[in-house]
Amino acid sequence: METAKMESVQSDELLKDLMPKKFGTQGRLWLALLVVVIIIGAYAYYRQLRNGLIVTDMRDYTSWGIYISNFVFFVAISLVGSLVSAILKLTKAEWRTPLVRISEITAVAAITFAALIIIVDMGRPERFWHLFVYGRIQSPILWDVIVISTYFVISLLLLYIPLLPDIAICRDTTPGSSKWKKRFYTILALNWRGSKKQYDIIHKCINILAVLVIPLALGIHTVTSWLFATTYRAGWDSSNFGPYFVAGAFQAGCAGVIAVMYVLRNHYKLQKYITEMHFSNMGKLLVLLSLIYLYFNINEYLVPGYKMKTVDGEHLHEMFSGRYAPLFWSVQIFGMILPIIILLFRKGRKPVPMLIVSILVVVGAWFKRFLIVVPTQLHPFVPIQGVPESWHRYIPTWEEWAITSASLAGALLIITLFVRLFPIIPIWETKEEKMKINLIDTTKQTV
Amino acid sequence: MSSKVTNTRKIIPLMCICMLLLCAQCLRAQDSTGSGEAKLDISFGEQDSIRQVTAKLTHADTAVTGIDIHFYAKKSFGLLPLEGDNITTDDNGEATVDFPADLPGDASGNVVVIAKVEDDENLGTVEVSKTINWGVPAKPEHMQTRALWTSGNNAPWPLAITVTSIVVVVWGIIFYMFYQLVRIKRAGKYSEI
Repeated sequence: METAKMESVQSDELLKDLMPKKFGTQGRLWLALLVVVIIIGAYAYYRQLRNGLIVTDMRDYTSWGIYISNFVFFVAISLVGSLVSAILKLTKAEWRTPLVRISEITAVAAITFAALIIIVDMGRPERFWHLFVYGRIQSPILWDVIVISTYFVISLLLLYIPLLPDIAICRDTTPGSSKWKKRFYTILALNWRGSKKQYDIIHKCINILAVLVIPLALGIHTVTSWLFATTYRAGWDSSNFGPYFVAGAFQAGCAGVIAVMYVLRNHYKLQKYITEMHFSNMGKLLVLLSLIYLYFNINEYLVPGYKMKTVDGEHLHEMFSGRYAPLFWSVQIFGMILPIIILLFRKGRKPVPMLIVSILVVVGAWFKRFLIVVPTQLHPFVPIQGVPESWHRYIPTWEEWAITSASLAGALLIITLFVRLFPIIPIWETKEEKMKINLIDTTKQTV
Repeated sequence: MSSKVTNTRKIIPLMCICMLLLCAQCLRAQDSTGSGEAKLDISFGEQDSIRQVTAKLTHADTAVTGIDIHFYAKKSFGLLPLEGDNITTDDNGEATVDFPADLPGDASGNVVVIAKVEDDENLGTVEVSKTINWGVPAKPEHMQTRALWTSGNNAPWPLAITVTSIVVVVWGIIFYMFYQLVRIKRAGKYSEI
């Protein structure tokens, strides 16, 4: 009797704390900012559609610019879904529960815009369907199309299936006066009644998806790395690229989730659910991933740097001491070495330092993709001769920056709207965990 | 002030006339250095079992002598120069090169041969091209082999089987997940009853 009463009180408290809340002034301002950035990006894309890719600074040599850098960045961020939902689940890290949905929606938002930015990069986007109809199965580009579509669907399922019980709570607690909202939740809840059979199916699905998403996550970023590594170009011609990309992706994704969880925790007062322990654990994970990524970076730059052979040497010279040196060293120092040093200390794994570190890592990760994609193209084996001066360099135009910013704003908008409509911390899983803890406490007291 | 305006009014029409004259002069100059009436013809023949390409250059129906003719075979991307000792036009206005016996053509052995007078002081650039069936026919069966560089229909079997199997297995599981969603919906209906 006493236990049932306690559970009911806990349940009410959970609903009060975790149910989606209306936007306040800050929320509306944030939403308006995102919409404005997206509108500017849409206008820039309209100009690109009307005038062609000539509005960008991409020319014969640099034919992949910040759109592709941004694509690789989004693919990297999307890997976090598999890290928290699958890897931590299979390693039985129970503390991950409040972070699962944050990482899943981050993954869905990122993979959505990874797919969209590829279409933006196309000179003739209306021919996108040609990829499926005329694609050559020998081409890594087709493999990437397949693996991205598949990962998108799996990520959606990993987000949606565990969300069902919480959508049902939203359905049941939404007043009848909010007709459209109620209808929206009713359709999405799929007749969820919380029966044992339904819970059994959900648990089975989550287990299957958790196993499936790991090879797929490794596959998506490995295949993306092959887009570069299968070409014979200085800086890309590397057998290290697959694990190098995967390690970088886990690092960037982990940092992305830390930033999102900090903002949500503070804005929605979730300190009771996302505790300092969560930051500390994510910090330990981030430092481990950063160290692994540092190891791959050393391999990627030190070995060719020792040989400095022909065009590779020119490319590396540009990175180490040439025109890209300030960016290269900033990325290595602020995006990797400094975060590692900060996170090695207990105080560095507190929420505020963690936010700073995660922002450093995410920004570093974006520019790191730029350094992977662009400089190589400016170092072809046959020297660049007899072409206009502007072809010798690549400086993104305002249209490219606007479209790229809009894609980042779009990903943040997806997360923002999701938080407005659904509980960002799984209510039913938190409840299950609390019940487990109560049961253990009761058993201890009885003993 | 008013004298300045008057001067400007006089200068502008004068400048326009000068510009028109200059343009006309440019056009005339271009005409005289362009292909004009110079004419280049290509003919094909054989001498001592060696195939030869001959180009004949005339200007106002008169043979032009002492001009270098450049011969090329058209490649997929660019031009392949055909070298020879007699590329300067003789008294008949003719220049000749040997046609290589091992030059690859298209599937039927067709090769596009180009003869060119390049940037001559008096004649400018004159060009002519003709197709001849003298090339070694490209073997289309190379394109039929299963390799990484052929068309999508001719992908290597191990690759095609591996990719297809992975896609079938993964998407099979995805469709199984969709089926589970249907089961969840059905289970909800029954528990409602």
